[in-house]
Parts: sequence; structure tokens; C-alpha cells
Amino acid sequence: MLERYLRPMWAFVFRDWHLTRRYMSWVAVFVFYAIVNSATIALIGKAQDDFRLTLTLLLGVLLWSFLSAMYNEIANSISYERWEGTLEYTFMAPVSRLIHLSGVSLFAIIFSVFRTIVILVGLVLFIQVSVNGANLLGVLVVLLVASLAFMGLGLMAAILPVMSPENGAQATNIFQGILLLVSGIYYPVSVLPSWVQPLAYLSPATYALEACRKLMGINHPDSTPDKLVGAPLSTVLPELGVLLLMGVVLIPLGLWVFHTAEMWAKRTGKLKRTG
Amino acid sequence: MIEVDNLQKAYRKLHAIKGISFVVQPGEVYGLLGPNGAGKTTTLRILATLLKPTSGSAKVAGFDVARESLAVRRNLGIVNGGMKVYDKLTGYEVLDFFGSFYDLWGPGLKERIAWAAELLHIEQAVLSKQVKDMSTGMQQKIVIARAILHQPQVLLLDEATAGLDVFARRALLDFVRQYAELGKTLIYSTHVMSEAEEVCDRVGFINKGSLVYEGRLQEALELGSGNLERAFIRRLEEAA
Repeated sequence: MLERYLRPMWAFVFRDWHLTRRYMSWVAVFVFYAIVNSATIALIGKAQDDFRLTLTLLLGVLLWSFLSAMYNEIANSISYERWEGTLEYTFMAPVSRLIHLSGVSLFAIIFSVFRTIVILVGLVLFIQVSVNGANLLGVLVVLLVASLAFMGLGLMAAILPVMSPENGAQATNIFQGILLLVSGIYYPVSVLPSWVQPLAYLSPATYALEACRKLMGINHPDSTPDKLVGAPLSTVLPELGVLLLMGVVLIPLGLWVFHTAEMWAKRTGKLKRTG
Repeated sequence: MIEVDNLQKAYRKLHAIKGISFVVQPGEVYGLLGPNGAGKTTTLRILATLLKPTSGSAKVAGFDVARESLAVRRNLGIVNGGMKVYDKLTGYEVLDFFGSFYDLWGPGLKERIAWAAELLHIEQAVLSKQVKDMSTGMQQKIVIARAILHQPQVLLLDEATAGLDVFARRALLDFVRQYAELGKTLIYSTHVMSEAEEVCDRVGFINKGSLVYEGRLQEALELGSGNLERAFIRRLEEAA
């Protein structure tokens, strides 16, 4: 019985895997660019000879690389179908949207994890920093919980290209840009203009970063370049709670928004194969 | 079986379909014929659950398209001249992906792909090619194979020969008759009358969202003194 649900879900994972490997040269180009971009940001900290700044920037580029890649994969999944001209047939497949989008999201997570690992390995060539004493397992837990919230945001953004092919795709990128700006990826939220700061508390990335900085011991007064004083997971329970709550709210909300917009598209004839 | 009852679709001020009704029996090929913009594709998109009707009802294989869309999709295949498959996947990967949605996997799926390939004269070597490296005709065969992989009770073909060369077109028309002989229900939508003459058992003429004529192919031919195109034009002029 379970197989009946898992098979179609895996079919989406494998479809995306086959498509990704056929576009491998483009994936390599984008990952190369991401490594170079990440290195140029992280080297700012190295130039200042400030291990805290270096670690803040490194954590920022890696966390954003993971979360934004996942958001992109999910948010653009419908745009990709339009470009391929396969949107109608995928929407006609006799599977629930939950299974369809779960498959897409699962691949997005797997892809983002591998992409981030490759970027991390690439960064090691440019910057050597010690993470001795950091609670890396805790960071992993925070990333997993944060990915739920980003999945929900991605689901909501994914339907935008159905409603308006060009404007929708543009809106997903603008939304991603706003998240990058307000979440304090490379700087504390306090440096943002006061009218922007409240938005930071709506972004899951803000809580993920705050938690990860504590777990890595970046701002701990006793941390040194050779030995960080990472906090135990229990100290970031408030951030984890907020992230979990966001995930629990945003995923069903994302599915509901997707379903509602799909029904609207079917009523108004917007569900077209191209556009 | 397909049952369409007083089906209507309106977009604000535009009435794309104005209350059409028809029934297609198993083993029958029903030709839905009309000029561009007549409402053929809109009708088929409603049957395929890609559009919600404004009013009226439609059933596919006994399931209501508005209320039982998942069951409809399980029993339906659609081929449209403009529909595509993933360019960068191989033919086999495309069929493997779509087969997974119909409880097909492992040896059962392999058998079914072999069945579709044989029916459509697709060589095994072609299935291992990426779709982008196939001819237009072969790509269309992959689209058809995808649509029939689950052996649906109902198959909708909408301008399915568009862009095909003479050999691929011939293969498709032969396939339509073969598939109907398996007891399946087919709608063949086109504006090419010669194709309809060849494959349809009954025809419906649709114009400006209304069904202006319905009858057996032979009756329609008699209406146009042996020529379906003449019958079509005459009936549309009378209805205007």
C-alpha cells in the first residue's frame, strides 16, 4: 500500500536526477560560480585577519547556498515544466499534489546537500579555518529543521509561474532577494534600517543563522581561532521552536496555496503547457 | 465511455463552449471536428481535468471530471499535437517516469513498454536515445506511448498528426483504429476532414462553442454527397 505512494514520489526524484545529470555541464558552471562567489565573500574576513568575521561569512555563504538552492529547486519546479512543455501532462498524472511536490522537494533537499558539500570542499582550497569545538551536529539539526520552513516558502512560490508565467518567475526571484537582504546572512540584523528590521523576524533564515552562530561559538567570548566554544543544542531550543513552528505552518499553507492557485488556473485556463 | 451533458465553459465575456452534449461508446472513434477556435481543445481539456467547466457535466469511464479527477486521470490518456516530453530524457526514462503513476513498475512496466513500442513500431534502440535526438514523428510516438502505457479506457487525440510526416501520420491513423478495436473509447479531434473520414465511426461538428451536427460517418458523408468537408461546410453555413 505504501509502495503505491512512494513509487510515484521516487519517480519525481529520479526524473529530476536524470534531468540534472543531463544538464551537468550547467550544474558544474553554476557550482563553480557559487564556489568563487563564496570564496570572495569569505576572503573578506581573512583579509581582516578576523576569525569571527571569517566564520560568520563562511557560515552565511554555506547556509544561504543550501537554503536558497532548495528554495530555487522547489520554486522553479513549475517553471522548468513550462520550459520543457510538459506541465499539462505532469498535472494530469493521477497522483496527489502532495506526492508530486514531496518528490520534487525530496530531490531539492538531496541536490542542495550535495551542492553545499561541493562548495564546502571548494572553499577549503581558499580558506583554512578551524571548526574545532563547534557543535556541527547541532548545526545539521538546525539546517534540517530550517529546510522545512524553506520548503513551505518554495511551495508557495512555485505556483506563481502558473498564475503568470513571466511575472511569476520574476516574483520568485524578488522574494528570494528579500529573504537574502532581511535575514542578516553576512551581517547582524541590527545594521539594517529600522524599517527593514521587523521583516527579519518573518524569515526562517534569521533564526537558522542565529542558532548556527551560537552552535559554532562564533561570538562566544572564549572562542579562539584554534578552539571554538560551541553551544549545546539546548541553548538554541527557542530558535528551533520557531523554525519548527514555521515549518509546521508553512508546509500545509504552501500546499493549500498551491492547490487553491491550481484550481484557479483550471477555472481561468491559465494551466498552459507553455508561456 | 464518455458522457458529456450540457457542458459550458465561459471566460468572463467569452463563451468558449455553449452547452454541448454527446456520448461516445466503448470501441468507438468519435470525430470532434471544427475550425480553429471552435471549442474542440477546450472540450478535451475539460475531459482531461485540465480545465474546470463553468456548468454542465462530463464523465470519463464513469467518473465525473469535476469531482473525481484522480479516477478520471487513471482511466484517460491524451495526445495533443503540441504536447512534449522531456527533451533530455531517453524514451525509456520518459515511459518509466509516467508508468510509475499507474502502479506499473519492475517487469510489469517493462512488459507494458514493450507492448506500446510494438504497437507503435518503436524499435528498442530508439528508446535508449534522448528525445531531442529523435525525429519529430518518433517524438510523437513517444508521446502516444506515454498516453497509452496504462492502457486507458479513454484516449483523446487533439490535432495529434500536426507536424508529422506522411509515414508517422499513417502509423498514427492505423494505431487509432487498432486501439478502438481493443474496445477503447476514442475522441479524434481535428480540422483535417480526410483523417476523420478514415478513422471515425461517428462525427460531431463543433463551431463557435456549439455542436451543430452529430451523426454516423456514413450519414455525414451523405449530407455532403460523399464528401465530409462539403458536409461540414454546408452544416456550418446552415447553422450560422
